[in-house]
Formats: sequence, C-alpha cells, structure tokens
Amino acid sequence: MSKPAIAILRKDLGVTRVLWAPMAFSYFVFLLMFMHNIWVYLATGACLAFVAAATVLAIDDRYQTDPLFAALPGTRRSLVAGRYLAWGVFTIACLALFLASTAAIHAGVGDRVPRLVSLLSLKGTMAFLVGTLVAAAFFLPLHFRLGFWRAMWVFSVAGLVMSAAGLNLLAGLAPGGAEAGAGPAAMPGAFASTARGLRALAGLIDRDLGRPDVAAGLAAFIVLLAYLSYRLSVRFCEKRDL
Amino acid sequence: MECALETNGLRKEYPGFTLRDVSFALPCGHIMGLIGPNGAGKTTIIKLLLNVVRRTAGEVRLFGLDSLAHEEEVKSRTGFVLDETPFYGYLRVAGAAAVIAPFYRTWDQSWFEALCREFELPLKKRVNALSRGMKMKLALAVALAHGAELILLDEPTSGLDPVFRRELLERLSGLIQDGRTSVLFSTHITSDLERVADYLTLLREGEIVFSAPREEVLEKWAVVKGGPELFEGGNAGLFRGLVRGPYGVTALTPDMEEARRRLAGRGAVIERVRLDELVFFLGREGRREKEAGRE
Repeated sequence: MSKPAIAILRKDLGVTRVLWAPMAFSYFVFLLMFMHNIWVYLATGACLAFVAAATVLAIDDRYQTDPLFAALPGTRRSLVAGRYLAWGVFTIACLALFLASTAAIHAGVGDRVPRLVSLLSLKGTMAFLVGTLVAAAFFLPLHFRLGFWRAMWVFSVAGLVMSAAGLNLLAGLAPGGAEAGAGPAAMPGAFASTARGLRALAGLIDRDLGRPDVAAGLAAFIVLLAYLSYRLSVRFCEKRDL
Repeated sequence: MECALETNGLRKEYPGFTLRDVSFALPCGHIMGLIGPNGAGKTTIIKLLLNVVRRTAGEVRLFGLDSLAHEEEVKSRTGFVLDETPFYGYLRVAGAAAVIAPFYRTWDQSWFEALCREFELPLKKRVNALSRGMKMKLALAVALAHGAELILLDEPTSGLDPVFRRELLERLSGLIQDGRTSVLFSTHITSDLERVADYLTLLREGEIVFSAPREEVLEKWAVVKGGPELFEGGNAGLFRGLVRGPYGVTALTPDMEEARRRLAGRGAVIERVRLDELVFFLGREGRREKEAGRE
C-alpha cells in the first residue's frame, strides 16, 4: 500500500476521532432498541457501519476538501486506495463494536433475547460483513463518479428498487422461505412477496451462512466484487475534475 | 536554463470556456506572475499543474518530469495555496497541519510551528474561527513547511492586510535567493507583481497574450494618448484596447519604439505601462471581441 494511501487512512481516522465515542454509544443504543428481532438487529448493525464509514466522505464533502487531497503528493489511484482502506478499517471497527455490543447485551439481558447469541459466530460475522461490504462496493464507484450526495441519492433509490426486485425473485425461487417467520398475511398485498423474499433470505442466512464452504465462497465473491469496485472507482476518479 | 515548470499546448475544455494551447516556462529560481481578468483561466492553470483538474490535451513538466507520469514525486516537491482554503473547520490549526503532514516525506514540524509564530497564527485556534486572511496564512505555512522547490499560489494576497502582504512578498523574494526555489503566483493585485515578479504571463479568455520577462514587458508595452486620428489608417494595427474619451483616445501598444517612431511630432503622449493598465486594456479588448463574436 502506498504512502499517500496510508496518509488518507490516517487523515480519515484523524478527522473522525471526535465521532467515535458518540458513535459507539449510539451504536449500542440502536442495537438495544432492536434486540428483539435478530434480523432487524443485524441489519441495523450493518447499516450503522455503512453510515459510520460514509460519514468521512460526508465531512470531506462538507469542507470541500477533495481538491486539497488531489493536490497533495499521490495519485488518484492512491486517493481511491486510501478510501477503500479506510472503509475497510471502519467496517472492521464497527464489526468489533457490533460483536462487543451483542456480547454485552447478551450478558445483560440474555434470557430475554436468547437468539442473539447466535450472531456471535461465523454466521453473524459473515452476514454483517457481506451486507456492509457489498453496499460499499456499489456505493464507492458512485461516489467517485457523482460526488457524495448525488451518489447517496442514486445508491439509496437504486438500492431500494434492486433489493425489492431481488427479494421478490428470491420469494419466487424459494417459496418455502415464507415459513421462516410470521405469515405474510400481516403485510399489505403489494409487499407480501417482498416480505416472503426477506424471510427466505433470513432462512438462507440461518441455514447456510455458518457453513465453512459457503463462507469461503462468499469471501471469494466479496474479494472479487471489491476488486472490480476499486478498478471502477479508480477509472471514475482519474477522469474527474475536483 | 533549467526550468522548474514548463507547459506545452496545455488545453482544458469546459462547457462555455476553453483554455487554449497554453505554453510557458518558469526557469528555476524565479518568480512568475500570472495575471488576467476574472475568468481568464488563472485558477484553471494552477489546478491543471496540480492535476486537480484533468487536461484535455498538452503537457506539463515540473522539474523536467512529466507531471502525470511522476505525479507523486513532483507533487512532493511542490507547495501550493489554492483559491479556496479547504481545511476541516472544526480542527485546530495544529490538527489541520497534522492531517497534511503525513503526505510529505520532508515535512518539518518545527519549521511549520516557527512559521505559525511568525504569521501570528495560534496553533490552538480552530480553523473555523480564523478570518480569511488567517486561513490564507495557514495555507501558506503548510505550503512552505516541507521545503518545496516550486510554490504555486492562487491569489495568495487576497484577504491579507497590507503589512503582511508586503512581508509575504519579501519572503517570496527571499525564498528564490537559493536559486533552486521558484514561485508561480496568480493575482489581481498587480502592484504586488511589480515588486517581485521576474516573469509575467498574461491570460485573457483562456489564451496567453504574452509570457515574458517583466522588464521586457514593461519596456515594450506602452500607453499612448492622443487625438483619434493618430489611431486610424495605417497605425490602427499598432494599437490595442482603444478607449475613447472626451479628450481623445487612450490605447496600448505592444511596441513602444515603433509607436514613438510613427507618432513622432504628432502630439502623442507615450508612457510606460503599468501592469494594472495592461490587464485593464487587454481585458476590455477581450470582452469586446467576445461580445462582437456573439453578435
């Protein structure tokens, strides 16, 4: 890893230093709020990790520092590498926070939420990392192409549409997934299929994600996705006027 | 002569503005002033030199090295002040420097602190609480704290009080005394350049009007005043940026000797030009040409 990329990482850690204590506190509070539903709990943890990593980019956007860092020693490639490195470090830090919060909540009120302990495992770690890193792999190229806020809008809208489409597809492929929780009757008609897909996904995670072969396959997929995402980001960043 | 900076056919196209075929060279150990009216392309040139914006065509060589092929090396030998001063507002001055320092191998923290003391810049003050002039001082301290061989300054004196402006110009003059350090300096305050610049490059509407040693510019160009008949017929091609007033016509000539020869004994007043007059006349001429082009 080049020196400028490390400098970007150090910079990102430095400028967010003041945020880590409140972030850790709110992380714990949010997880505590959603502890009764293991899937919402997991999704909240992954979403908050995404928000924490994206905060650095939002701060840079707020102070319009992109021209400054593009003018400092380094190339656009090292600038992108630094961002990916920082995103990775933030994700790992949030994973540690997530696992520590889960362990703490389980130690405190474990009898009320017995299923929570299942997240303190390879399955929980993989689910968290896959969710966070796949989102980053799609978001970062958009950021380098469109800038932070436009990328966030496109990512949010496209993410919702694609997730809904993916879940509907999954519901069609694995109708048995509907059995993994409460019946779809609770949902309005238009969302029933999406809800079935969500349950099918939860069933898949529950059943398969803890298996070493599935975990290895997913890890390889994430590495490939991250590489393609990085190449695309470099391409976008090299062409962009800052 | 060895050059700190050379551009050849540099071009940048934006919707509604094109920087065209910019070629100039700054020899080592000299100061070059980049002047021109608003929107002439001065900031674009500085951003192109730093690869903050991508060139459409052309070449930039810093210290004899291509600025894209050797980007990291040439940037580590270059200090800069951008037109905006984009530091994190909630950090303290020392914190802002700590963010920048890891990018430079030759960063000298004690030198940075000495510069802050000299500029009366409190290390513990938050960047948000600094005035525009103080932020500019911070940017200057950062640009100087790693022993840069080339310093690119985009409007560094705007927002500075006259005392510090004068001191800064003296410092820049002092910096180049080692024969190694060079400065490219864009400004609207042309009196600053009359004090320190060795070379002048004037831009207008994205094109270079001239790039030459200051003495050569000030010796060749002149302001000519006289009756309207002096500026017509065969003489018309000798003058630029004509301004008609109630008492006659004032114009610029790029060839003072030729103007003296042709207008001898015809009541013309020929004076040495000041840099602000150059920018005024040529800027106005460019605006007129642009308007005529639109019509």
